[in-house]
Amino acid sequence: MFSYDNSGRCYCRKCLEFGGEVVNISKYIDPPNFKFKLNYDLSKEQEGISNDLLNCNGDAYVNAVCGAGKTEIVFKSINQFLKKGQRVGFIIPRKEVVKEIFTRLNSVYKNIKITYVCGGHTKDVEGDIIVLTTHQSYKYKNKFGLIIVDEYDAFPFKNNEVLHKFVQDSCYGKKIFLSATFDKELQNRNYFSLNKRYHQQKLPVPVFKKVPDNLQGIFLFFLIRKLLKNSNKVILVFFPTIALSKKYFLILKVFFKGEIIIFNSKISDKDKEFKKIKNRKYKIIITTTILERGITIENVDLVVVHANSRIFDKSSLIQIAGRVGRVYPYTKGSITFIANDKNLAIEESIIEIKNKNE
Amino acid sequence: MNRCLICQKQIKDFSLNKFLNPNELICDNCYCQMNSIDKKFKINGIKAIALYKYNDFMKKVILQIKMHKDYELAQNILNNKINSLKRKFKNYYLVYVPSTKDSDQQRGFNHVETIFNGIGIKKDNIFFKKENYKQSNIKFKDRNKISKIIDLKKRPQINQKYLIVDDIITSQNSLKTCINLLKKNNVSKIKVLVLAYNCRNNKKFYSLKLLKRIIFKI
Repeated sequence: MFSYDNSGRCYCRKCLEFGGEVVNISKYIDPPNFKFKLNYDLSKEQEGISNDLLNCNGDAYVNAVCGAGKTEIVFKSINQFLKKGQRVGFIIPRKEVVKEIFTRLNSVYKNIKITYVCGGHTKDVEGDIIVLTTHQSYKYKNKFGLIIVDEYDAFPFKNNEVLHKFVQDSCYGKKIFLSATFDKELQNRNYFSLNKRYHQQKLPVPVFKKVPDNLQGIFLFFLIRKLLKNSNKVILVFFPTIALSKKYFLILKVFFKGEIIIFNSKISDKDKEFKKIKNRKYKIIITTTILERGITIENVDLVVVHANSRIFDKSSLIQIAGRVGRVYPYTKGSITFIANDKNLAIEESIIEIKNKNE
Repeated sequence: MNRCLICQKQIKDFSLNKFLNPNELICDNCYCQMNSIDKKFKINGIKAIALYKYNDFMKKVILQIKMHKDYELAQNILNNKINSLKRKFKNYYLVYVPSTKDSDQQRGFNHVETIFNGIGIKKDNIFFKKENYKQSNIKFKDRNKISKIIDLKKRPQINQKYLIVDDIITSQNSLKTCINLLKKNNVSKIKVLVLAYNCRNNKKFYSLKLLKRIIFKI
């Protein structure tokens, strides 16, 4: 899969988008004199896996439910590698989650250089801990002693052999893979499971409502009205495509003036709007799968419209359902899947969440 | 078995397009998304044709050529139109709206020359930019400054038919400058061909937009 340019040189077609400069930094770092302080204790299960990761040899896979506190589990391993003088990389497929993880790490580590590198933010590329997107990993060949790959099954990383190769090549030491939804084939390696959220409460189970396609708008309107009576709840409404979300948004805007906003990958000022959403400025958020992973908003209820669309596969629905009940004490919330018929993805996702609760 | 240059999926064997062009390098799906319009319009009285609309997909394709330096895509993007264009502009002298010298050097090739390479036997680079100035980085209202940046480096022949080509037309300022330079040198037969149409000064477009604003913001 290669072509020739006008001077006769060969170039690879799969690597077209990865044309930026490779980062020129040292392979090892001076062990930083950092301070690590966690303001809360880990749960028993989190402690157990944290120690297992320290002691295991070779790559590790952690299957943790959404909101289980995966980031906290790896802190001990990060500290171990920093003391050895090896750089640590936190690799994530989604740009939005990069900034969240960066803020979390900054609040826990002091006296150490932490940077984040993603599209549009590539000026500062060096650090002792670097948080980056999978697309940036081609610049860091053999620069990390430990990498933590979060959201292993997220788009665009999933099934993309080019990105997989770049991520593997970036690390000369240990690799830890985190996700809530792994394929079964990985079960014979260093495989650890964390089925409980850090606050020990059960995962909210989604409810399926069978509604014909053209009545879903009216149903959604009454459902939102009912959920809004529970004041203080923020309602997330997921649509399969931006076009569909825009259509419903225009109509719902008339009834819920001032309380509703649309958030997708094409709006301007994404960061500003996202900050407003986190500050709970809006009560209803119309969105697409962009908010399916990584983000944490307290006290939410959730609705997925056209839930049998092809875009919502099993792991996507599990991740969306994982947005509810992440922060103590708001551990319960309603999750509604609306579709004109139940499909395999909806059935399997509901079964898997129920199984994890036992 | 060819893979599409844009989406990298395999090109299906059983389609009319593949039957007529067995060596096709772009798949039907991508051709559809490119939204061919063949729009005829005029710039200062000069007849012009725009082949595609500058939609999100076209943006992505042109980015792949310009920023990701995809030479093979630049060579083959006009494959399905090249024969009709060759016939139409058989006796025309092909000239290019100039690119910024530094970008061309960094990319390794001039994308406009490569895209329109198949058309015309006579072609030349008679325009040049006096300084490194990217029209795409300039705001819409300041785009007429380009008239001071582009100049001729060779005197055009008076009785020749000229075809000015460019990749994207937005404010029409770059093309107007080139047209005026040719007219100043007494060239009378000029036509324009652009790949993507991104013009906004269209009365119909504005009234529709105003109508949409009125309906949805109340």
